[in-house]
Amino acid sequence: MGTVTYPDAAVVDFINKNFIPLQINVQSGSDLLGKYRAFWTPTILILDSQGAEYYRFNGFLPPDEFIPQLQLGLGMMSLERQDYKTASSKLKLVVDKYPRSNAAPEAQYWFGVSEYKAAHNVDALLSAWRKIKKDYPNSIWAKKVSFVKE
Amino acid sequence: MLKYGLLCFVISAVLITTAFAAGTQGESPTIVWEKIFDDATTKAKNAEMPILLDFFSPA
Repeated sequence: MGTVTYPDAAVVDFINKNFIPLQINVQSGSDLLGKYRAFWTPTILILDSQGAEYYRFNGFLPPDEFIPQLQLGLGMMSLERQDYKTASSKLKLVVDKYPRSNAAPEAQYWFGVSEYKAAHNVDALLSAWRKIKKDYPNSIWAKKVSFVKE
Repeated sequence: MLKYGLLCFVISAVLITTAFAAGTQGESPTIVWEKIFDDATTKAKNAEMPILLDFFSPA
């Protein structure tokens, strides 16, 4: 990550605009490793300002996958906090701006959930999920919504 | 005499500014990582931003 992804200008810009970045060396003996159950590197987490975990993933990602993954994480954070308007906006941004990323079909799934939970709008949920079947037919997320009728 | 002094000042200012610009021309923005958890949470509270925590292994 340090040689490919973090030096990327778009990654730098995204992180600086959206996060307070914190790096912990796993060889430092920090008690944070146990607290956040970090057993492999890289382990990337999104926390709130009190240290509560909202999203995580492991392993290297190139810039064009790393940014949408972080954007997805921000959307999931808002969803879990029940800020559905923000969640929908952030999740939709993943699909609109990074449609070919691996994060996009997952983001579309959770966008549907956010739209439903905001207004109990079943049609919005099903419409969002049909888009997964249409645009990402080979994804695991298409399998998750395979029961949705056309 | 005054004009000579002013001319020297202007030339010096131009040279210093040019040297500074040349020195920083190749620099691009980087991520400034916090290394202490409490510092990160304090900044996150003040900025009302989430924290991106990266557990890494040095090369």
